[in-house]
Amino acid sequence: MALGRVGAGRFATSAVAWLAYLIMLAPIGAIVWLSLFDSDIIAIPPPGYSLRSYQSMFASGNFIASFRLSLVVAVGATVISLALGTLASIAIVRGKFPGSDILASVFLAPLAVPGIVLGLAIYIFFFKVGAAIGIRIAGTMTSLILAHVVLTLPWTIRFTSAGLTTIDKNLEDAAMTLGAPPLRTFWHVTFPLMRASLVAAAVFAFLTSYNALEMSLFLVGPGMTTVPIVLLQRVSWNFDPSVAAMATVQVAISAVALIILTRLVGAERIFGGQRSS
Amino acid sequence: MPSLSVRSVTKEFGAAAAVRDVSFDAGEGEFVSLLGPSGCGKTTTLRIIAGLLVPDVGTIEIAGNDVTALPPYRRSASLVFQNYALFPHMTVRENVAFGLRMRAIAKEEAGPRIRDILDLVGMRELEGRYPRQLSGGQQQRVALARSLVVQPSVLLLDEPLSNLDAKLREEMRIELRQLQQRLKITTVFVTHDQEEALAMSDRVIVMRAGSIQQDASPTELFNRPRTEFVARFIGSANVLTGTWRNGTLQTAAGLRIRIDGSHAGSEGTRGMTAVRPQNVKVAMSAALSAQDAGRFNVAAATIALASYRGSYWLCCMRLDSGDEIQAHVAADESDPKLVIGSTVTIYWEPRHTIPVIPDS
Repeated sequence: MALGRVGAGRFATSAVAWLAYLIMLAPIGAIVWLSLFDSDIIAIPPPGYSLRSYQSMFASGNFIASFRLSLVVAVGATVISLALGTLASIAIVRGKFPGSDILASVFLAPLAVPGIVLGLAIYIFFFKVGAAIGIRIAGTMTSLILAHVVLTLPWTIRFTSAGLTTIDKNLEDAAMTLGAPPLRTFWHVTFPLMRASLVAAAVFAFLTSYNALEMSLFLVGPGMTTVPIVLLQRVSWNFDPSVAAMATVQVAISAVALIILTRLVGAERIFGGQRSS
Repeated sequence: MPSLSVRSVTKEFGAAAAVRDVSFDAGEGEFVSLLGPSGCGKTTTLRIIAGLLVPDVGTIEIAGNDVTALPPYRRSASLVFQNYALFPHMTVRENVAFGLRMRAIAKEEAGPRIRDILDLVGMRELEGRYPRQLSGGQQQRVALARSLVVQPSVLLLDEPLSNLDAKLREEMRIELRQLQQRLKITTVFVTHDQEEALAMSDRVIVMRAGSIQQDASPTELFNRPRTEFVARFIGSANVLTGTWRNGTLQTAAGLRIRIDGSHAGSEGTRGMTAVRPQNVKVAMSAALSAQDAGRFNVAAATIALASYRGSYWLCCMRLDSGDEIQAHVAADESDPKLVIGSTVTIYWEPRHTIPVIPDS
């Protein structure tokens, strides 16, 4: 009797969990479904299924160019924010100077500002600075990458400082007493032990930049469009299966990045952080 | 020339002095222990010697060179950490090779050196393992090998045995001491375990609240503790306070304690003495002969507690004068006799009365 009740409780819990998964994943399923319609318009039921929306997507230079731009910006922002984030984490975690706690919070602040506000502010900033020094900054690829760094840096700082705090400081001290100067200590000891958190930081930075829409809206120049912007334009203009195809590709890229991450690092290490010694 | 000289080192953290005016030398091949309770500044001192902390005042000399301003990687002092701090992403061999790699020692020379040191600590077969695949004792050996392979002028050990279980700790004590004597390497060993310090060291430096209390050989430390703190910290001690009268210390409760020769304090001043429980004898008969009474410090006492400790009984007694005193009574002869509440006579030789400086 008691056992049966426990069994029922467990069944209810897992049913709720599955329901939650279903609600979260259903829209993605719907997008994939729409992308396979053999039609130029969204009509349910569809006249049939085919890959023609994918064909038309790849045939369109606009789509390909936006994928490429999104990729370049995301990779650029990831690399820059990874380097800066690691350095900032070392200062915050190992330095422990007066005000380092405040600095740590300041670095996370962009997460709290709506992307659209951030985008507008950065656009005005770049525009004014560009006007002052006589070089056009606003609307260039560089400005777009730098703006995305503002979005991705909080993630890289979070992950790398989480990684760094789990590394026993004695390991670095041991390396130093064995004759390793600070840079070599970092390279041979700290860096290899941070690898998991660096991979996690890279993937999250990449995804954040790759999917950023609101901020990019202000910052793209003429002829520059990232994937989310193209999607927005297409959706407001005319929602057809090729938009769904593009969204499916977008989702697939994110999914692949996350799968790579969990394979390389393991989900519990990304969020839990294991002791290294 | 000493291998290591610590000169008037002071280090403050915030307002509190972690280490205050600490000076000592370690001679070539000498095994020196820094002993004290946690927070006494012994580990801080060790980290200052290693260069991981910079002293506010004072200098460190290693092999005759002032290294105070040098970073750890330019000093010839390697440190074995309490948690071993083995590099988790490197094999045993790679861990041991690390110091040689940093010193850019050629493969032809490094290879045999690594092999020899791994043989010495008995870890050669496991050189391909990672630290997480090793037991605590094995990790400890690897940490030792990693520090020794660079042939430092001074080997620094920060409580390296405290993470091992009791039996292994005992074995490693002997092993570590033998290794140290074989290599004749100058060693500074930090511990809070007085037994460990006495068993292993040529010299023991007892620290308390950042200062050195006493710097002496293990036997001298045990037999002639200079302060109340040392007397209580090393082994155990009956500490009796009183006033000096006619060359004896008279306690408030009226006990007169005689002391050897010139050790008595000047008439009328306050004084403190310590007596080891090992040196206090317990006689079951009510009185000693007049001759014995003349030679010993003698008092009548009542047994308050007798606690069995294997090789001896720890016997706590209340003297008729009101003072309390403990004695170690050999176990074999006393089993039936130590009846709580029974009256006995205690006595000890005046030479076992040790004058000590009271803790402020």
